[in-house]
Amino acid sequence: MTVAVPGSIYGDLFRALSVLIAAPSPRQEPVARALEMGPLPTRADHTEAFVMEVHPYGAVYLGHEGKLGGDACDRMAGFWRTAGLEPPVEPDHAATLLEACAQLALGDGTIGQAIPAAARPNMLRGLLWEHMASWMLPFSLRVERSGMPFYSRWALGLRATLVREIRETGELPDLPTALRESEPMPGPEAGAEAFFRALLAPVRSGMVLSRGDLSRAARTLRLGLRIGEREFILKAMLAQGPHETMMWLAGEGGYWKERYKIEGKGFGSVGRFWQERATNTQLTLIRLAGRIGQGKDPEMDLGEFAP
Amino acid sequence: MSDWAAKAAERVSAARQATESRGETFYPGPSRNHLAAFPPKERWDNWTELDSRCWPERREHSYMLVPTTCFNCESACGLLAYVDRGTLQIKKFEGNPEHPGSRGRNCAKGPATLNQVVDPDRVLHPLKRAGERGEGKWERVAWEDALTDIAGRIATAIREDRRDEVMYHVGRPGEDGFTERIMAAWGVDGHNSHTNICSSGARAGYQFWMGMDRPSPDHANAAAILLVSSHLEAGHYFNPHAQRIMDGVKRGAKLIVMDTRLSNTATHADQWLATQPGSEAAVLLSFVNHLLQTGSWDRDFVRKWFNWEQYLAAEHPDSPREFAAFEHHLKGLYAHCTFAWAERESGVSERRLAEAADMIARAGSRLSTHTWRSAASGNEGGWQVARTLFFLNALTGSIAVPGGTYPSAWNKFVPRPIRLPRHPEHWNELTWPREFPLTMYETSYLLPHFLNEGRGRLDVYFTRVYNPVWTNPDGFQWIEALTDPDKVGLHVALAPTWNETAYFADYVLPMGHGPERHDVHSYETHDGQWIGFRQPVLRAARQRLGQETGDSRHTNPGEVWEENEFWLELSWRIDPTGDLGIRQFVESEERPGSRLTADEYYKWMFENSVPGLADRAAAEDLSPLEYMRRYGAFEIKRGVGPLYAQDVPEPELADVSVDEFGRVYTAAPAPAALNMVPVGMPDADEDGRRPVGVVIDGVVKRGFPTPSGKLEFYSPTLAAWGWPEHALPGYIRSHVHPGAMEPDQKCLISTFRLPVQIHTRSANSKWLDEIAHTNPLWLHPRDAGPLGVRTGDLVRVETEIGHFVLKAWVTEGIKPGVVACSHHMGRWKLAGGPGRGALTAEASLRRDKARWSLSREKGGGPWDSSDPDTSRIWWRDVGVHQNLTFPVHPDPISGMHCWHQAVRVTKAGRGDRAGDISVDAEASRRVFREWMARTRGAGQHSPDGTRRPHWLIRPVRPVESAYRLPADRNGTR
Repeated sequence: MTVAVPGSIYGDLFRALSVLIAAPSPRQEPVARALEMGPLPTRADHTEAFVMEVHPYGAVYLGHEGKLGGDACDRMAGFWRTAGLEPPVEPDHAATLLEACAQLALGDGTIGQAIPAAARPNMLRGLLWEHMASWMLPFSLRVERSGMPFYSRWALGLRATLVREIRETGELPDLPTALRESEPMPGPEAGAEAFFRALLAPVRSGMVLSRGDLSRAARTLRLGLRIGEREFILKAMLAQGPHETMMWLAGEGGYWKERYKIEGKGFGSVGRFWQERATNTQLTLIRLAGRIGQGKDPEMDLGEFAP
Repeated sequence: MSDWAAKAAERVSAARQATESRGETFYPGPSRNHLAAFPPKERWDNWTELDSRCWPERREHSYMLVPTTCFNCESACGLLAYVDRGTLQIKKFEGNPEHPGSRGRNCAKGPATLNQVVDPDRVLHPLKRAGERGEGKWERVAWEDALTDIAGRIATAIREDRRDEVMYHVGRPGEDGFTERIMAAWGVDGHNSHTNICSSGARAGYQFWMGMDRPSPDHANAAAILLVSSHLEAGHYFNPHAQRIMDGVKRGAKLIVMDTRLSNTATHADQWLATQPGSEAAVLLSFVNHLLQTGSWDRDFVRKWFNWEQYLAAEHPDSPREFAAFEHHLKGLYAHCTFAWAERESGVSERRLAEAADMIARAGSRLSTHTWRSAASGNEGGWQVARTLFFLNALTGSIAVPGGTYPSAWNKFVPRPIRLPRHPEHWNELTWPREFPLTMYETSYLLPHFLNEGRGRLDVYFTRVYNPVWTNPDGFQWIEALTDPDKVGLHVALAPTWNETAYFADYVLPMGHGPERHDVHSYETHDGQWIGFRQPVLRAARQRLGQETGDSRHTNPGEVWEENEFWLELSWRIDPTGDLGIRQFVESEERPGSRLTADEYYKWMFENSVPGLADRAAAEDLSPLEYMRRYGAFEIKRGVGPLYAQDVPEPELADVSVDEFGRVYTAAPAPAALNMVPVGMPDADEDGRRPVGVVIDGVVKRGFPTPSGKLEFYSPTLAAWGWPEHALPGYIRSHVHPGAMEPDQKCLISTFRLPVQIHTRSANSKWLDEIAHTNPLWLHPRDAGPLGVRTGDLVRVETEIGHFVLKAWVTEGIKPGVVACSHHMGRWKLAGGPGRGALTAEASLRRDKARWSLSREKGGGPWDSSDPDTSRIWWRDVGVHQNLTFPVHPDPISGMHCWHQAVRVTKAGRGDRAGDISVDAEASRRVFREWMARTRGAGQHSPDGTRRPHWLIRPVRPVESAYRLPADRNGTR
């Protein structure tokens, strides 16, 4: 039996959300039913959602290169180290972080038992703001965009839970460290390689461009899809159709800007951060697309990407 | 929206409490995806899977899972062919979980076997040359006609005692000894392997130490893993080793990689030592010195197992023959090998070297080490890289103990076959020339030069899944030889796919890929012994369905045959009456008067020569052959351990003699051995007793298969055969040492591999070709800057005999002052000829007196075929055939071709085009003569009038009398 920490009623909700992001199994049905999430998805849906399309790791959203591991992941591991605990294998996984919240709220599990009850609310507040709110806004929006009913509902639920918690505990005065210390998008003068690599790092561009997004764009734009990592796909698209690719990217920038404008309100300064990043990226992309469309110098050498 | 959260929190909390109040658990435990699971073997006859291409529709497919062994490198990893039960076609390959070496895992080359099977451009029928050699005109012939012609020609050569004119030249064998025995059955010393362009350097270093010519590192249990180059672990053979390195690193092992390039393995290393090419032995000796000076060595192991008494007797005859005296000399010998000295040679800082040395010292006997090609094959004296590397194992006692390095022969099993042929009575000087008495294998790549010098001719020359024109250095010399009927009378190319050498053949005979042939193969992947069984998959599938099957041609595509059946049939036809003494070796035991079949051959082997297999099969109500056809592999033993330390049993000690160094000889006959793995064969004593062991602290131990029975720190063999200055592990400055090159020259590394390709063997694998199809020149920014070269620019690389042109890749992943270009690429075909491939450019070949050139007429690109994917090829650049511009560099001791090149790199000129090659054949002959002048031949240096130390390994071993030099002992003919 677990006992909720005074001041938090969300322990079970965090744990339920954590459980439901794992690969589907019949054991999840009571939890899904309690949250009125509808029928469980298939394992193939889960793979499509969280292996192929959207990565549930904080480092992907907060890291300088938009990839797994690195400083962003290590910073989250630091949360456990601060508590005097060995970090879990995947400290920045959404399920790990939600379960950590549950343990702090319910006072059970490794963390819940390691941290004195009086310290848990502050630990929970810090965990939510620094390591979850910081990236789960774009993450949940991207999951929602994947169009799978179960996981769309899950993403909405996650965002609602975070917004509610932030509202109740109040946002911290400083922007989360990962956002505060992140570098913005470089300009085209940094070179095509650096520019487009940054574009694929959400914390720099404000956009989340998945492999699926790029694949669909290639099909829509009638460009040959080269199978590979995202950077490889994007370069191949730019090599084949620089203008249409840049136009599509600018459109994506607009999409994200608008989503943050609406959904970011409950996230306070975090929401404003993401909106500003997406806005700046969109403006740059529109300008560059325009120059390419008019046959002017695109301010960087896209020829680098020719196969 | 946040109201949802409050309500949901209440609901889920209530649900949990309600569930728990019933004593049940609300939240599930951890969930797993079971990605490592394999189809249970009980269901391999009929395994159902959903068709992934029909998603989301659930369309079921029923498969029969038939094991075989991958043929794309020598690791012999297990494959499971998924045979569609409806169409009896192979649909895919996955790993075989029953395989002890690969444990169900494969690299990309395994599954890509499917591409080779369905390759639209493979050779499907026997072809005979219709025009001139190399003209590209072919006509289809019947197997019957080809066999009759070839067999008749070989029979005539044998009858006329021209046995040296029959030669079989093999790339990677993919089997253990079948074809060597065929050559021996013919009485022909005609086996010619590619080993001297591959691994002779490393083999020499290992064999001089322990009488076995390769290592079997136990990476999984090591505390420190030391790799000299990442060649094996990132490319060739890499699957079984890489997975065990990962196991070791997960358990906390430190990984040290010495590699000029930032290879895949180097990126994962705790210590990446980017050494100057050729300096590796110096670095290793600095580690040796560190161990000696800090007392981090196993003094008792060295006392027992080094032949230090022989060393003292030979080098310090006045010293007391005591270990303390040896210890004194040993420390003095390597005292100059400081980290500062090694830094000057290698360019790696003292601090980094000291850190790596500390890791090694801390590992104790859990030190696994490995080198194979690269440094050992790139440099003159490269064999000392293996010798100095194994020195570390020898010093730390990390030999054949957990986490250490085992001799390969103890982790490998070669089952005795139904027939063992005689030893040939001849010695073939074309492959074993007397200039190289210590060469580890045949000096294969020198063959065209020897033919050119008039040392002999070939009447029937087989190339077997081997492409010397492309693979070997100095390819134009090969073209000259292969197009000259006075040098090569009949060239038979046994090949699954077209290649640059097959264009110059008289016959091209279609041979099977991995799932189309029989072989038994064993490989040293860990401390155990296993065999893998390669088999024609569709034939096995039909047999399992109870259908009658003939030889493999009846189930393989077109008229593709397997080699073993081909060799048996050819031998049968060479000697139809038995008067040549050949027929007896290929005659059926079950059906006298009939030819041995592949089924009988393997049935006998599995029933009689594989310990434990019969019992294991019987437990499943199968015959041994049925068991191997069903599971594809069998683990004979796990945990072989230190065989050298075993006591020799009393019955083996009869009428013994013991020499002054403790070598024990016995008159007792050797027990029958089922394992035919090649090891050193030390000579008998003067009364004919065989060596059986060595006295260690008063007990007769089994020891090592060296003349002394111990680890030969001091090599009496090297000392006696003309190389006393290299009798100890040491450092030989390479031909590409900075001091040996001009200031404007750089060292070119040409031996590294990409993980997804393997020479020409993996050609025609479209998946692999899409991943890797070009080989740009790796160039450090510090070298590229002054040249004004950026990534993608064309550069010209000048060697001693010519030049080649290719694109540059500017990268910090290579040491400054060194450039690199990978294997595998630059494939070409002559315009209009057969042999299209996704890696193949069309080229024109020109010859103007001694000047040869190859120009690319058309790069890669799409074409129409039965496979729609060939129309989707999006790349043009297929790399450059750099090996054409390399002269031969035979190491005077090991015989290894020293691959590294001193080159000049310049920005390409206006007339240069990607893929251009130009070579001065006269210059290549001059370089050949220069290197030959460095040899010390048996004629001048043999201590006993023989051509070669009899104890050294030789794939086909002639009778002992053939080892004697002819009466004129004056060197070369």
